Amino acid sequence: MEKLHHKSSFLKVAVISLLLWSLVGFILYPVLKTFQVSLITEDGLSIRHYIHFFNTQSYVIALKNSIILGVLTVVVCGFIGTLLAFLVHFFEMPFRKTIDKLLLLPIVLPGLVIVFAFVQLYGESGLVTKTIQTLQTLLGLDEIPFKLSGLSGILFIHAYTQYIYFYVNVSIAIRHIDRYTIEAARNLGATKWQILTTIILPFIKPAIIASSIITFMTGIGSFSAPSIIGGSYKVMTTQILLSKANNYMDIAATQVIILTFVSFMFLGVMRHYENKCRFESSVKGVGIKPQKINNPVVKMILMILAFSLVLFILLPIVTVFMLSFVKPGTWMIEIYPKEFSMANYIKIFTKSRSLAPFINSFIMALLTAILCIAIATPASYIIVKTKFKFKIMIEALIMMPWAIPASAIAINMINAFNHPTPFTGNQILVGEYILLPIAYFVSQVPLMFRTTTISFQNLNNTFIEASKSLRGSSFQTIRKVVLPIITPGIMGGTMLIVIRSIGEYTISTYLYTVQNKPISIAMVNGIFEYEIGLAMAYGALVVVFALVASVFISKIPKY
Amino acid sequence: MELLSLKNIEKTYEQKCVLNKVNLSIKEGEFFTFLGPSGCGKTTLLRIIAGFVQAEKGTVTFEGNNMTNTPAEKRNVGMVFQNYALFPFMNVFENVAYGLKNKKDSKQTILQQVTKYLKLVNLEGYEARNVSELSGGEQQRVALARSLVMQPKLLLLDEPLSNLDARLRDKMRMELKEIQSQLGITTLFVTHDQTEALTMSDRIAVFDQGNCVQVGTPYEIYTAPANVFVANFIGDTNLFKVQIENNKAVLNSTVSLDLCKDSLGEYISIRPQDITISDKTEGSLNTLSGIVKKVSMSGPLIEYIVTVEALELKVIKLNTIGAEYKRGQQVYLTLEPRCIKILNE
Repeated sequence: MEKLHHKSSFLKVAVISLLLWSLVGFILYPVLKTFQVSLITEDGLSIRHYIHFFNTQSYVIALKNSIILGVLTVVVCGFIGTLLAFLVHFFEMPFRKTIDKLLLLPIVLPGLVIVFAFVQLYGESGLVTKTIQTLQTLLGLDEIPFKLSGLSGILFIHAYTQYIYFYVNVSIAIRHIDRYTIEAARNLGATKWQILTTIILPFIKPAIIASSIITFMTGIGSFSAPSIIGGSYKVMTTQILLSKANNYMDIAATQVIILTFVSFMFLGVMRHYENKCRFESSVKGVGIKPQKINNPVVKMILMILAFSLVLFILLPIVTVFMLSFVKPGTWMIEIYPKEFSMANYIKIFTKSRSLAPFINSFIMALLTAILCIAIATPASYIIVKTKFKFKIMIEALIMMPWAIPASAIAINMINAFNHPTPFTGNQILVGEYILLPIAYFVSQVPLMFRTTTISFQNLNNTFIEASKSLRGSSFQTIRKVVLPIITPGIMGGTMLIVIRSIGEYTISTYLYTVQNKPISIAMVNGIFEYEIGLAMAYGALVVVFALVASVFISKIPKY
Repeated sequence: MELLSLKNIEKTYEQKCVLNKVNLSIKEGEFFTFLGPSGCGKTTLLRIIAGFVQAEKGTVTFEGNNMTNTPAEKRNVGMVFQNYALFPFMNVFENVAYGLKNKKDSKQTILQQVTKYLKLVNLEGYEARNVSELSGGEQQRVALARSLVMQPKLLLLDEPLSNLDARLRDKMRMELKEIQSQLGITTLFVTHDQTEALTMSDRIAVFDQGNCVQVGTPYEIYTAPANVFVANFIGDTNLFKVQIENNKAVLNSTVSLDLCKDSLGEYISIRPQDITISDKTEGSLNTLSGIVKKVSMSGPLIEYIVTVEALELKVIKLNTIGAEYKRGQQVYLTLEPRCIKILNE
């Protein structure tokens, strides 16, 4: 018995050491390395780069722009997402269930594909823009009322891609409002306004704060939209790429540290508020029933709103598919493409040079998922099921990348692995195939960790005790009880990570090499070489893959 | 004096009749109970009185004023919900103060009133506690204080004891009744638990499938049930379908019982404690011979199931020394004619 105990404690020490080694090596060390690079100057360690940063107007403007973009993204997405959540879940909206599913769609679409779809629709020569132009005199417009560029253009795209955080969280919160508390409030004389401010808002406040955190971080870390349509609206992420391209790694490092600092500051402040307004419901309430709308005019307006929404959400996706069939070299000066063929797809699947990015992305996404499982599963197990003294450290390390913008992760990787390190077996990773999947892993592992943690939390210890009392050996217990319970969560997490990695653009821009050019880079190249159809075919393949995978996710049984 | 009157209340949900022409009158200071199985319409009626549900037909009159279309927030009725519906993001004090704040009472009045009512429900010193830290019984008292602090004319209680464990339920039943009589507040209580209804109420209305089938004091309801449903729902009873002819109830080809008077009906009901059980026969009226099939003892009482021909009768007897009969033993049951109630469906 004692022997067995020794064996298991040895295994425990080995697993924990290996885990800490990887987390420190690939998450903490790169951040510290970037910090070090930002402090190294010709006259030794100093904060000269920081002083230089704050004395350079263009840098300060980019920082200001990033923060403004982050805040406005929160405001715009918060407004749209919360409003939609109320429309769909608080009121009896026509076709609620279908609209609810459609509204979740943008989460599985890679940002880059959406940006290009928006450019094709609302850009200077976009389909919608041109259509309005031809009707200009008819509509009596002097000029096109919108321009897909600068801050408003980026915000327009962010609104589409990021309202979802608010929508999902607030929807869940609305469904958890205890109907009887609203009735109790009415019974105690509260007016409709008082009910909204004193009952409904406190119920959804934690959801709003949590969504604000993630939206702000995605907003300041956004790269695809600012780099493609930002124009003169410079933000930190595009500046970091510029510094890196000009080989000013010390400046890039400084910018990365400042951007990361802003992100962590926001996280800290919001967490403080989140803790203040958190509450626990000890008695299970009864969910609210969607409120009936009796006014026919309001009903009609909602109907129109619902259809416009569906159209607005589906249009970019339909566009990607439609343009992927445009015959190469035919759509030059006409407003609408006229000739369609399978040529783009045939090209992708018959020319190995065109197929390579698709295969690369697929393999790298799988590698990312495997790395995520390998690290997140034991980490979650230690956090949830053991009393390991320093488990808070593991959690802090593994969640850290959540608050680090993708561009910063890429720069950290370059700074850490452009020289041999003990973490990489004295190898240089920059320029190697494996660095890109490792960077994807760093950016995705917090998401996987959350999923696996929930799985282990659902694994009630009594199941294990029951299995042991029925004479199940440790191995049998793991195989027949533990795995069936945690596998669905891990599978769902894996799928999500594959979807998110397969169309990744930001990190790829910094770290791809000739051997592992991913699909996103191939798309961008396609656009710049005026092979729009080819680029869209890549996009369409990614979308199809994401949709199929998300159907799988929804079919995974939950325990 | 009449406080609340319900006239011809009707309500349907998805073409199913939930309440069918309900008429009730509740007097001031009364503890009145709606009793019935789940789905009988009792909670819907309570919600109509509170103003959360609109009746399709009928009127609700409160203190002589028609209140049928008055919004819930304007009715001076307090309500305690089955799950208490405490606001989870407010502490005990804020929960109780909520309604007073809506009324825009002064801070001093609020402090004074909240303190007074928390004292009434024995929760002094709990002001700053988070409601999720409280036990079920404590949560219930907060919910009660939150309603009472508004000094409503009428208090509605929707199965407030159903979430508590048995022992606590007994205790809260006493406390609730105590507070009610101390304040003299008119109370409408909804429950499916007949013991709760019988022990607490001044009067009971029994509901069955949307109909109010009987209104009366607990004693009336128990001893003179209006129909088969009431007899069966309230307390244990032996119920048989019979044919009545010449002052006799014919149960089957071999068993028939003499009756007091020849009234019309299809069923007879005899309460288990009204049957005398003995191992000897004195040859009196309505004595049947049977075999003890089951014996179960619940402390002060012993319950027997006795088979008589093809019939089974339940008999309850006080557990006094020497009162026990064994399984398989032959016994004689005497059913006094005045204890046999003739009922209709």
